[in-house]
Amino acid sequence: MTQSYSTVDRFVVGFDRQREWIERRGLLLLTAFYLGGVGGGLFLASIISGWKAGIPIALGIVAIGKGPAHLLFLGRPLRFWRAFRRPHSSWISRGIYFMIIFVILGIFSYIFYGNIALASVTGFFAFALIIYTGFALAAAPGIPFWSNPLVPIIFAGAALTSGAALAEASHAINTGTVFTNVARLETMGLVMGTTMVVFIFTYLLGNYMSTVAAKESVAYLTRRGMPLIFWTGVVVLGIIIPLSIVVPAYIGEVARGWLAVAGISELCGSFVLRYSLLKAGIYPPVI
Amino acid sequence: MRYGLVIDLRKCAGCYSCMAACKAENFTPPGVFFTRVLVNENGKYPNARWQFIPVQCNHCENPACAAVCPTGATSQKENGIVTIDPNKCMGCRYCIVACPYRVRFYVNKRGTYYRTPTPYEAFGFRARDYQEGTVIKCDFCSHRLEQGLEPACVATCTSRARYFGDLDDPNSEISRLITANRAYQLLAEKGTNPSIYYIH
Repeated sequence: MTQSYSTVDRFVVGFDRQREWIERRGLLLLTAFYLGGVGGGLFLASIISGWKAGIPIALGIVAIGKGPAHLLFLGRPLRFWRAFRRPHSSWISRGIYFMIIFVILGIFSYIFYGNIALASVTGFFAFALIIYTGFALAAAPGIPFWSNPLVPIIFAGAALTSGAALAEASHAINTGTVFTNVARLETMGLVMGTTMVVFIFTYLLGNYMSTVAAKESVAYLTRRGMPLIFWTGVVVLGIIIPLSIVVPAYIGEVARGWLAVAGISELCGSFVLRYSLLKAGIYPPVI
Repeated sequence: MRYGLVIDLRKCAGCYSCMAACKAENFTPPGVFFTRVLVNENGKYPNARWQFIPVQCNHCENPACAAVCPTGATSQKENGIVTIDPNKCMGCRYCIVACPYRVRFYVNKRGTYYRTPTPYEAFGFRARDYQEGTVIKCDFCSHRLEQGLEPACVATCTSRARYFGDLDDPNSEISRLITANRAYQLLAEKGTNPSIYYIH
């Protein structure tokens, strides 16, 4: 049975789902979060696997994708500069700093490719970029499903997996792409993929056993509200298909086309994972 | 000084006059209610009963909305009232997501109830600076407080279930009511320390 949480529910004591960050223009915010994760993750995967061409792609995803998506989401985009003022308390402010510093340092990392110190500092900001979205959600005390220490870890894990997946897909599709260390990339994809299974399972189980609103969120996600999207998108596309290809590839040999399928499938699953987490943010009854 | 409100649910008749008065006083756009009266169904037939719970911005002592606001548009005055500067808000809606009480509203379009504005709405457009693409909420009728008046919801409450006053003054009527009736706050476990107390 589908549970809608209609606007009428705002006049009845009960559970209420957040809409601002997922419905209508909220989808732009979801896109921004996703592109930030993929861009930051791809940068780290590129550094780890020695794929120089991956750096400008990662920077482009963040600068051309994430930034404009954030601006289009805002009700008053011309006032975005005001968000520079409160990094001491707001994760959105911090995120803007992370994004800008990452893009600037990323350009220098590409120009001075091979400089380990520069790559390390840029890598730090890439990691900050992929994890801050999780902290932004965790800082919202109204939604118990988000106000959880595992949320930033899941966002960071999903971003690293996506970055590795995009790099793997690029490697599989384009035989001319130069990776100095593909084995590291495969290891990263496999480790992050399997770790995410543990993270997601622990997160959902932990929420199911905590507050009533968090339990309602898990029920909404897996049974009542969006089970088809969750099980197909997150579990099948994001976990089962990629792992069923990546594990045999790690042990033996798999055709390049299958690795591309695994990468694209994981990228889709990662998007649906973020969509699901935002969609299932449910407020507890006030009384 | 910290302004606060006590709502005696034993007296609340569920007449929605606070909602109507707030709407009339603040010229809120369609679909926006700074004050809402929630209905809670308790028990089962034949022992079922309705309970009415008026909710509005709690003007928390530790407001989650102000902490997450990236622009500083949401801030707290010295009298404890949490306000939004419409000229600073960039419409990211982080405050709406963070507020546990669901009492903030995003103005996508100012809008009217009919195709053309009624004379009342036309006056409201001039009287209130609700900018499209920003977030708005209750400010305890600050414009009335400046004139020495009570908030509209308090002044209009037909069953006198609302009491407004200074929480910092131990001798104020609301402080005495809170102590005498063991009044409680909504979602106190969130750590926001709301300025609205309920007597059950």
